Amino acid sequence: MTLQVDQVYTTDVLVVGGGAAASMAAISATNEGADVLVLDKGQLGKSGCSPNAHGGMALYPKHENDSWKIHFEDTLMSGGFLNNQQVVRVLCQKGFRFVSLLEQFGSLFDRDADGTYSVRQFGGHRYKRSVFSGDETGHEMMNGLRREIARLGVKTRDEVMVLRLLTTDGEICGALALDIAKGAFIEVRAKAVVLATADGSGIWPAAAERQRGDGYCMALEAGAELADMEFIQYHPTHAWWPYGVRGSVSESFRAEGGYLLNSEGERFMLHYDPEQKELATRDKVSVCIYREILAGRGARHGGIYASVTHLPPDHIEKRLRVIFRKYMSYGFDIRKQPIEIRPRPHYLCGGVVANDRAETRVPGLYAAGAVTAGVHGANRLGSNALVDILVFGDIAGRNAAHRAGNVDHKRMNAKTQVEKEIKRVADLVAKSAIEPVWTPILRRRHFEMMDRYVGVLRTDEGLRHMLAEIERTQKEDLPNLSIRDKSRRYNFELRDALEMQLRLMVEEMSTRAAVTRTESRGSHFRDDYPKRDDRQWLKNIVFFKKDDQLVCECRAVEMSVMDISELPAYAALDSPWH
Amino acid sequence: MTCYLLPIENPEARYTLHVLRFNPETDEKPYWRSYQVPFVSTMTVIEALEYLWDQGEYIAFRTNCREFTCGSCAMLINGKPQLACDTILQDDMRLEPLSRYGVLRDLVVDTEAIKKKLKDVKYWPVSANREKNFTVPPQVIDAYGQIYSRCIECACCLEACPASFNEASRFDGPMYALLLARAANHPLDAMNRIQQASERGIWACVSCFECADVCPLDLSPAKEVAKFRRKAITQSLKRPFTFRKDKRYE
Repeated sequence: MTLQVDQVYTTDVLVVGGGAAASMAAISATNEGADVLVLDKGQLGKSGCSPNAHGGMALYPKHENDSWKIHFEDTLMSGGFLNNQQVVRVLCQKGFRFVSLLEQFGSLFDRDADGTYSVRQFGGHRYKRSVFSGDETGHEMMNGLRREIARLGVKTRDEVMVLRLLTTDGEICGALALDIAKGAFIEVRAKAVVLATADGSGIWPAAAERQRGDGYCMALEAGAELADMEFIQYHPTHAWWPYGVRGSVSESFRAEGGYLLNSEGERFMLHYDPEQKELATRDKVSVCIYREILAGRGARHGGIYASVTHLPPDHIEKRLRVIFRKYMSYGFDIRKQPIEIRPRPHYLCGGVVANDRAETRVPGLYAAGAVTAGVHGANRLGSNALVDILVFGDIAGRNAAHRAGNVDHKRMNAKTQVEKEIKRVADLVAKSAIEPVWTPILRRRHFEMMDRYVGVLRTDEGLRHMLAEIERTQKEDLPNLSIRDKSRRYNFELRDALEMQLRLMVEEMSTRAAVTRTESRGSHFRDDYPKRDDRQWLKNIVFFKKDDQLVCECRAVEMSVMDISELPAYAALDSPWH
Repeated sequence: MTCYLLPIENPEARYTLHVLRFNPETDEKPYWRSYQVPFVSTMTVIEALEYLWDQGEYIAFRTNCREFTCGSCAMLINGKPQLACDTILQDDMRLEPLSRYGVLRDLVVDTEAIKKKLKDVKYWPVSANREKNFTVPPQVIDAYGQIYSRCIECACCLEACPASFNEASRFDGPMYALLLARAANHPLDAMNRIQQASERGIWACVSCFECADVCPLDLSPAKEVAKFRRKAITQSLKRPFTFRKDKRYE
């Protein structure tokens, strides 16, 4: 491995990421006249989580009584009022235009007989407002975005992992990246950077484990703030058995009328939530399923049964075609047999603090999509994420392009940062520890522990146990972390080891925030504090770096658009869910 | 790397997996290597490869979604182009990289050519006025839902096609024909796609339906080629080979 920068790019706007938010940002910035470079850790349009988002985009208020205000209220109630209200307002007001925009790019979404978009309802939404394309909405969305990127001729580099954002005098001036395909370092000089990497739910044993929170660490190192890191949303219906089937069983499974059954064949959600039944919010369904499993009413392989056998077969084939086909290829007919599901980590609601202009605290650094906090608060509503990435991808791209038009390239004064980062990689490659620690083994242990202690049901004892483990790993294991594969090209072992070093930072923030928050709210459920405490905890827990130390701070939520007292029925409750 | 916490300690069997390995930095030529993998029912090839990662055998392969929506993990499994995440593990399986593209390492191939060609064929809706309102006939929505939206561009059909053996072939290949059909069906598209498809060599298709056989999503690009041909014949388009420039003399 050559230990110097092999290639230098100069561009106006650097977009980090390869999903829909990154694509949207790149398209908008290009349309504003900026020179754009997209660096993606996988292959653009095929990596990240956007292509396997099944559900829908909550942006089409079709019902006559529906309005942005009601969508806003739904989002806030689901998010436990921890959301950044300015950001949510933009989300609910500006979403609609993006369906037709995507169709101009080449996507096509399902329509009803009268020519208007078909909509479906997701848990926690009061009205049907999610536009979809079968149950491969994200894939169809990326189909359009990829075509537009190709049409505009945006410069993209696949399989490049950004290691660090470079700053000069506190302002962004570029980034250092590792080309996985060639094993070479790339330095990018940019006037603005749009961070559109995924969230960090991949540090739990999640469905799409490519989301390993690199973006969080980059932003934190560059000086940005991170908030709400304790809120890891578990997707309640996640394929568990048969073994090979991967990924989440989309919420459309429940939206189309699927039942959740315990080992006694009982629809247990009727007891927990007689009103919303299976369509209660994700966090609530997850806790209910865990309670059933802990009470010994789980299914044979440790999950819980999910069934659509009562629905007409052709309805299943048409509306749930991806799930149907997925199970069919393993010899499982969901028309006839119930499947086994179990809650799995799905989305980390927290992330980089960005305002409604997608700006972070660092001048020149914009963040969009899953990497940001504030939109979803304590718990994400189904199908809000696909709107989030489009709306804020667009805003981030535009604002980054405007900034690039107004400022000059900073004098690159980041040599020490570059050297430090190259040294980190070089050390890892060259290391020959006496008692080497291998990434897969370490990571597997952390997966299991994060799932157990910082999962659906949390206790003070478990969280402190996890904190001790993180501290021990940082002291004892990380210095011995080694790799066996020393080659340059496609060294996935090196990539995984680099990610392992970063993930501990995310683990630490999540666990520390979860210990601090002594209440239950949204997707954060403490077994020892099962009530919502609005008097004390209408606060965001914010992390930032000060003199190389991680600082944790509680900040009261600004209720700039709507006060919690405007929803008296919600404010009177002390249940963590609405 | 498998993050699934289900027990693999009690495997039903131990299977042998043969992988064609090649690292251009250190190896002169590709070589076969065999591995032992525990088998649990309905386990797929991708899980076997991830299991080997866990054991420290970092065989290079691309993977992302594991639910056949990204199309990254196409490879030759027992000589047939398939997605590793869609193929149940069997004993004595042989894994090779796709043969149509250059090998970068182990099972990773260089797919830049696909990106370039997609740009060449203009696979987005080409339209002078993109902002106009349009209506979509229900059969187009159905066609998108059943066929066009589902193509994941995994390149399995390109590998299987006997009429298009590389990216320089006169016939672009089944995947591109399907994507052209997708563009042609988009309500905003104003380009003459039949002419374009004709110039892009659909006449070389031998209608063997190999592409439909290997498609992991059960699509049939050959049918789309046939539709294009039928339209081209009814419109009495000129046969393209007579006026298509021969690239060899450029």
